[in-house]
Amino acid sequence: MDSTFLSRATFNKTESANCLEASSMTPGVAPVLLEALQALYHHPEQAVKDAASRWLEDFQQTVEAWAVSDQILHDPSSSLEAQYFCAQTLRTKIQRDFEELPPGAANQLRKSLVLLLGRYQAGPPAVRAQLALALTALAGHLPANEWSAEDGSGGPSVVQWIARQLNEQPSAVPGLLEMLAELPRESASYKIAIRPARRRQFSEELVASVPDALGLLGAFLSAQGGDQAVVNKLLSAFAAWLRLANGMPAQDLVNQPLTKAALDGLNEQATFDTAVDAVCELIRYTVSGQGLGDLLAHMPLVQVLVPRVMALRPRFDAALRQALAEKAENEGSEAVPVDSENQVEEDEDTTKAMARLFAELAEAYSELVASGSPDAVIMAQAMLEVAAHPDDTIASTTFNFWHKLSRALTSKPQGGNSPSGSAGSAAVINEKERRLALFRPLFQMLVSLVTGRVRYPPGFDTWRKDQKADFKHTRYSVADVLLDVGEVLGGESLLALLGQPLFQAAQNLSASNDWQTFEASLYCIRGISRLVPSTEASVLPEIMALLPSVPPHHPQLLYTSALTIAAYSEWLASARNVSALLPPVLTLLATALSAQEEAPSAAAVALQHVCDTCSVHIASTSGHMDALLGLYERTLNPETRPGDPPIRLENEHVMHVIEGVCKVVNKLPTERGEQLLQSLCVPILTPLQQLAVATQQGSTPSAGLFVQHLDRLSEVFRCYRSPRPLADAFGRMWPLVQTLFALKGGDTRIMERLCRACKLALRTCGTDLAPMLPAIANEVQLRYQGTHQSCLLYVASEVVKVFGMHTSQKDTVGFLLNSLFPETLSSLKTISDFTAHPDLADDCFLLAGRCLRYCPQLIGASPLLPQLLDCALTGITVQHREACRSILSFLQQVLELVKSREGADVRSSVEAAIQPRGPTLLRILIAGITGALPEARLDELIDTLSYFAPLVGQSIVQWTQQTLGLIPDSALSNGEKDAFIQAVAQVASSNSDHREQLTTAVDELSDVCRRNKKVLSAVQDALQPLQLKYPSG
Amino acid sequence: MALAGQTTPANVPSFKLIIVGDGGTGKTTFVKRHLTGEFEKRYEPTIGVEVHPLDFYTNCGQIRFYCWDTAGQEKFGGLRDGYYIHGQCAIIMFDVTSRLTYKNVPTWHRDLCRVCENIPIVLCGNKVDVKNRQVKAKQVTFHRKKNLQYYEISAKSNYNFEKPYLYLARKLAGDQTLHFVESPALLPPEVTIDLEQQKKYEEELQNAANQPLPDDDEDLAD
Repeated sequence: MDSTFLSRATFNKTESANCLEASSMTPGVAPVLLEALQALYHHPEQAVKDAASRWLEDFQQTVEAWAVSDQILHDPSSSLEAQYFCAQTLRTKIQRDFEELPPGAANQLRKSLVLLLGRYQAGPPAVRAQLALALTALAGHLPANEWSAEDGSGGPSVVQWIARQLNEQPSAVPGLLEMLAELPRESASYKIAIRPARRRQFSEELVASVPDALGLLGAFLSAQGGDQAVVNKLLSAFAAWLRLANGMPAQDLVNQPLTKAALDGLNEQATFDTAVDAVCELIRYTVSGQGLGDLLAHMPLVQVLVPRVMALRPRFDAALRQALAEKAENEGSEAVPVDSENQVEEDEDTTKAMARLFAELAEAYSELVASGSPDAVIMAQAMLEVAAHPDDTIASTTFNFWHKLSRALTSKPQGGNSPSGSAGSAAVINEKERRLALFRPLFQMLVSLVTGRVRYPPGFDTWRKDQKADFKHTRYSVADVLLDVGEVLGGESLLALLGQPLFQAAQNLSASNDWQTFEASLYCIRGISRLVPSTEASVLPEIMALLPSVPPHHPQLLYTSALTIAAYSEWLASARNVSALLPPVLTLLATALSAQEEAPSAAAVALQHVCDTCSVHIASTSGHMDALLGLYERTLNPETRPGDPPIRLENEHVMHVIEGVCKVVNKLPTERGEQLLQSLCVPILTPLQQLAVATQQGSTPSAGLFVQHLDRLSEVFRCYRSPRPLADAFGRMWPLVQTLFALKGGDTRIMERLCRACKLALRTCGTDLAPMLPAIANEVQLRYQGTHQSCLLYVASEVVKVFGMHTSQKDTVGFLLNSLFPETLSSLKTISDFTAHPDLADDCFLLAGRCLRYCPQLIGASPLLPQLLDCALTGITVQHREACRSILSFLQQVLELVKSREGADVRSSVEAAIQPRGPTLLRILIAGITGALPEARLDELIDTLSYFAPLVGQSIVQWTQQTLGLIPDSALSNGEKDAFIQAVAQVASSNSDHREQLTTAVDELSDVCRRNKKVLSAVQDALQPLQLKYPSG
Repeated sequence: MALAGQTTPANVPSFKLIIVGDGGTGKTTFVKRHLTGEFEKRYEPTIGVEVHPLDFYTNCGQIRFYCWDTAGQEKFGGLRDGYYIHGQCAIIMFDVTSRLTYKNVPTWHRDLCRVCENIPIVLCGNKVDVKNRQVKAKQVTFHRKKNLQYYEISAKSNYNFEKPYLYLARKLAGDQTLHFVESPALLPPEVTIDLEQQKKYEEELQNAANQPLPDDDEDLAD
């Protein structure tokens, strides 16, 4: 394992006058490189792979990598791996390290790359692709005029350069063609390390080259002589250039030979896939503008695309018939006749691709389809055919379209052309109704095509887990489609439509044992509940009357029945005969709770919903109340009643039962509600007490048991609504809580649950918990000292929220904060502390932020504020997303406080804390912008800066100048520095909102300073955000 | 069995699987759900590449994926597509709670296809267990392309963990009926997830859009 690359940690960073000169190479690098590649790709040990990867990464950073890669690529005996890696290295270096090249080297490099394209004309394709990309990256760096011919002939653009090379270097043609295809793909690429201005220019150059590029591709097309492989390449290049063609007149594309080739390509198996991609790009082009006006401008092309794509319908239809026939055969029923004339064996991928193409077309033009013109309606008909395909994946390709069409048909018409006033809106309403009427039969047809897919198939129980999961997924997406259908047909009409088969199946339910058909209809009905008004009076009463009589021995049927009750629980509550409907419904749910498989979980959800919507009814009927408490007891302790079947629920479903019961208890008269709180808590506290005792006696019950009961307790605290009785109860159970804190203080999982219970008690009880506050505060600070469990901080946060504004509790809250903050700050002294404990940092600054809001006087005027600010400055550059956000948001809140009315009392001390730290804060923010933090944090950094700048006024301009002055000019030019300073000055000098300009300036600064690794490190080395601290000694 | 691929010493057919995607999308977490690894609460970006062998047992025998878990985080980190050569299948990961990570999917896909032509690829939308979903299932249409399959997963809850591997195994074996005969040993889920809940979240999100902003009641514990 003593490999050479393992011992060679770094390279000599030799600066060479000419990077491509092989003589400047350190002798012996190439063999080590090959050895490292061998290790990276083939060595079994991760440690060796790591070392090889690091070595190779370092190698790519060196100046000599240019020459070594070039040399290996020109060496015919080198291996594929070496060739690929060296091509990838050259590409990477051109993208990132172009600035290493001395003047003139670029030209030489370009020549060498063209030679290499020739050498690799026949592949390996992966190597040639990297070389083509390398040249593409070069085009990013070198402006158009660098691509003019040496004799001055021909236009100055990279595309025209390619045109000339194609003539001069016949062997390089395949590679040049690939380069031509890559150019538009890389036009906005951030991988090429160029300054933002150059990136914009590059993109403009390429947009201006679209006609040239299409011309060049067209010329190739007419010369290719039937070579399908070449046609594929041309079509994929065409698709890529279409991305830049948005400004082109549609007629030009109609006349394009490539457009014709793309459409013709749909009819050839060998070109089908690339043709589909190209046609999809053509479709995208036609809808690339804004709204209907631009679409109209693109109409000439639309009118070509739609009929040509729709011409594939007979092919799809044949595939569909065949699939249906196969399905029928498999199910042993009567076969659907197959049209033998049209019978073409389509493979599954082709069928899928046709479905995709139809869907792309119909989705793009869904507004046109909605207008109802016959030319457009055929797209909806094609979608119906796809929806009829027995393969659920293919059928589901259409689901987005139905959603879009449904939206287009039902959304409020935009009053663009129609004159305002009643006549205009009447016309609009009439038009909308005309369209809806036109499409209703289509959507009714769709219902019949999708509802069959949710029926449990024969033998489902023997299916594998993944098959079952797929089936479930199909059911959910069908339910979504039905919602879209319901928007068009109306909830009540759709319900009636779905009700028919349900009632039919109900008749067979007991006789034929076919529960699946009934279940499927019920499932669909349940899915559209959102669209059915609570006044519905014809179908739902019948269904609700039917449900209690479903056979109880099919868990899936019970499951769907329970979920249907859950979905229509609001309807149930407002039904006229609710008191008659409720008893059988509750009986059904009780049955389902102790049934098999998934039925109990659904019953728990349904129980929660019914208890919620019908709480008053249940609370006022003593029989219901007793039954409910019986269920509660059996749920929490399955062993209690030996006579009844046990209820075994996952803990998360137990929560539904607790919530439901609490909802009803909340509706009871005060005294009775107080009594029952005891009954709710006892079945939770008893086992918790037993766990505590067992722990004290030396056994170690699993943490999961503690968590389970604590979660249940939290659920009662969350859902029970009377503050004072709960406060009393909490006081009574406090000794147990304290015991648990003492026993389990080191177990984060249990502590989190315990703290959550305390937090929810505080939230529900509010100030009624005041008598307990000193005890809670004392316990929290005591436990925190020993454990630093960050969850204790969010108990404190709730304390601040409840009591922070009450001056009578000022001392207790202050005591808590003055204990927790110093303790936390002492463990967050360096950035590595933040990285090691991001949760602590996160919760600490969230708590601090909450203090600023609820009790600014306790923080703002205290020595805690400067300490918190110093800590924040140390931690801003932590990479952990939430921790970093919390710190920045805390800083924003501090800055905001100065301006706010609430902060008036503490303004001077807050300002005094901010002022001396201003330069440091600014420098760290700029370091964050320029690379110390990921780009995803820029928004928060901009927010902070835009709070900061107006507050400190013109000083910030000076600080910005000082900070940017540290950055070497080679990384950030003077012009670039000035632009940023200007933007900051503007924000600082006015009260109006300059966020947009600031955002542009920050993005630009970030972009320039992150353009490659060397610039990035040069900037960070200059700013050294981690070395900064206040007070700087 | 008729699987083509590298062969490990134990004669188990094996395949190089490349996992790519933006930093923080959960690539490492996903690979480490297999009990051979571990799930870490704290986020530590992958440096360079980590190769994990993952074994699955199918009705045609055992197969092994060598998962090349590549660095996604740092802009200039690792060798990027330098790792892709010999790749036989791939997973592209994005995070449904971050639109940007989905926006970058085409770039990852293109980089892969330049090196490995016509390999089966699975697109995975991770973190569907998280409440504030930004990329809805309806918006994900990139996978309609050929040779690309989409799955929603949740690495933390093991939700759909096997799906991507099963799809790739089937494609590589050229056998649509291939299936796993025993579930791989997984870490117990950190969170549980069901589609009911997912639908509820999406509805809540829809409702939330129409409602005034709530109090500052960020639920610190939940």
